[in-house]
Amino acid sequence: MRKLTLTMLMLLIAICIFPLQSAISSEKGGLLEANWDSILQKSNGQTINMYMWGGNNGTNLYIDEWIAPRMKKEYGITIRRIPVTDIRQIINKLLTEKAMKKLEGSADIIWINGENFKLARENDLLFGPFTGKLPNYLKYVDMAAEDLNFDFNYPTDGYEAPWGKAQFIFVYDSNNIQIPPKSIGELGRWIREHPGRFTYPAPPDFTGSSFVRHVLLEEYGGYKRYQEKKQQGILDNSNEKAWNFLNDIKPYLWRKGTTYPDGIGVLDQLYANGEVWITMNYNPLHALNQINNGLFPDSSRTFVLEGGTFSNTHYLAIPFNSTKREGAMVAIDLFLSPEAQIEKFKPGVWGDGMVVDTSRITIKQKELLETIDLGQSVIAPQILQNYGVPEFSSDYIDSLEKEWLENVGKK
Amino acid sequence: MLGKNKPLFLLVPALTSLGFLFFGGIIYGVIQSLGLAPLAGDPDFTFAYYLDLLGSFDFWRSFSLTLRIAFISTVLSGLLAIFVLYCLFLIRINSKRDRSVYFQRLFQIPMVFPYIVAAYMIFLIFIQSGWIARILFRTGLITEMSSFPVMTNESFGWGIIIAYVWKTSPFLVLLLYPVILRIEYSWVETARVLGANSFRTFREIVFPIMITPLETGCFIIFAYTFGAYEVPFILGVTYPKVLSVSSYEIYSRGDLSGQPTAMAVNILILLTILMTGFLYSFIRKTHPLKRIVK
Repeated sequence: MRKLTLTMLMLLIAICIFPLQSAISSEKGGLLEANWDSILQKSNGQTINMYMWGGNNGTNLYIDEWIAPRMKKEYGITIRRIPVTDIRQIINKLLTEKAMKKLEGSADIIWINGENFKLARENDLLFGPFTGKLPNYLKYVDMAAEDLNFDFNYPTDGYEAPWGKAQFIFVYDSNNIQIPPKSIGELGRWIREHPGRFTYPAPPDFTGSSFVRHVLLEEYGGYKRYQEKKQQGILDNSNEKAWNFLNDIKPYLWRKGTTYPDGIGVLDQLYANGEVWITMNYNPLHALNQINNGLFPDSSRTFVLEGGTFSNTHYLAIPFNSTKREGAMVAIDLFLSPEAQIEKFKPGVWGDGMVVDTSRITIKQKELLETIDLGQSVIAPQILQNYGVPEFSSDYIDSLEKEWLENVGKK
Repeated sequence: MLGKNKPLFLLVPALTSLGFLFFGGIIYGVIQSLGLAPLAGDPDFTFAYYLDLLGSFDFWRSFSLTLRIAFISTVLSGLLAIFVLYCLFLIRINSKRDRSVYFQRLFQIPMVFPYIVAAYMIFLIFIQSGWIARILFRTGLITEMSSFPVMTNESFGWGIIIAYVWKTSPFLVLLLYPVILRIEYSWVETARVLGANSFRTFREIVFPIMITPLETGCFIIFAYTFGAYEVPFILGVTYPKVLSVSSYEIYSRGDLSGQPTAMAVNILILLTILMTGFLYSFIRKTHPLKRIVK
């Protein structure tokens, strides 16, 4: 009996140490040369697993109730939405699968951008370039637009299709704050005058990390100056100033800065409870959506910083080991149709920015777009656009998040 | 052919899957933590990840926080369970029809909630703008919401401890309740005749029978709370974090170089739990509990 156990243990160890070596498939090129009709044909009947951040109810309902039925009806494709808290989990999974040479992965579409896209590209985790195959991409998306072709300064190269646009905004309660701050400096003053009424999610939370970058942006004196300084290689000095700023306001933050909310959901909860008076989000229509959900007070309003707030694009990509790439491409094409994009833009639905070029859509679709009433809790899209600045490059963001923990979080 | 080994062979399918998933995972974790299976770069056998951890201040802060939370949770959970069992014992010996069964069922309610739900409930109830604070504020017992004590997301970990005690004490009650059922009325009668009150009866008769399963249960709770993730994730602070949360953070954040370190943290969690178990059973062998009780 002991011998048997021993043999089994040895076998187990052997299996763990030497991952089964199997040949890497080389059929990758085939699909990219196929024409769209044959892709449509092959996609019929496929079930697509879509891995996406599941923290927004509007987004989830949009997929389940608008996209999924249309996919089923028009193309016979089933969309299965699989919520995750951070798409980095899937990147890690794909990395492991790549190392183990697992060629049949479970993810077919992933919702991605920024540092995760960069990590995925650098490790060859994505299938493509596929966007050039999508009819709606070719017809409606402005392929020369830099804010779509560069994802946090990293070229997309057709390995991800733009899905929507986001811009950082703050939400405040106009009953508590008459004139919202216009700069990080003014915000700092406001925080000092109202102890305990402000906090931000701890990086690496996406929004919290962005707030930290806004502080940096101001210390650099705007985006242009930042770009210049980056080229000259003199970035560290301003980081120091940003940490000083964040440490200076720390005693006046919620819980005196002894802890930070771990995500945007918690910050929203604190705002809804009236514990803090300002929250922040990457969805410009967040205030409106949350008022409609009954979570935020009706007096909630939106403000942006005059030094600019970051705007970025989010994308859909197909993992290298997806077994249903045809279905995934057809689905992504539907996501890019003007109807789907306009529906997604509606405040009651999700309120996410459109990636289709509004000069290319039909007059009827334009009229539909103009009937959408945004109300007074949000900022008009045009004004928002004036204050939008592109994101820092993604290789910078990871190190910034680590530095924040060392210089601010632990202190 | 199989003879008396038959039951063992029947267990083989279950043991194999358990072995692959459980020991396979652990073995792979050990291999990764020794730098032998990096996702990028060449394998290189090294203890550097362990040595770095053992020499880092952050690790020991997380370690002491985790140990403190696990220890306090286990002790409080044990005490609460004993108190509940004492009440059940009283109900049983003092009523004609045994009603303790129903009350025992009542105590099992927290067990149906997942830990993550429990943690979020504690968050909603105990946060400074939460239910309790609002009730106290409305009834005028506190003049400002912010004067309600900070109980969630504070660096001692009270919120985490409350969640753990709420979740784990019913488990102990479930585990130990059969002991109460085993108590014969004649024993209680005899004890009464000999002049023992209810508390004395409980202490002298019930508790000694209970002690062995209680210890096992407490060890399970300690092992769980020392390694669990979701409750401290929701109710913990930004820094320091408990070991499991910081391990996951290292694993999922930034570049891939952190993954062996994260595995090393996991292996150290496992070793700590094992060592605690061995240490305790060693103490129990050298100092049998009967002497401690008397």
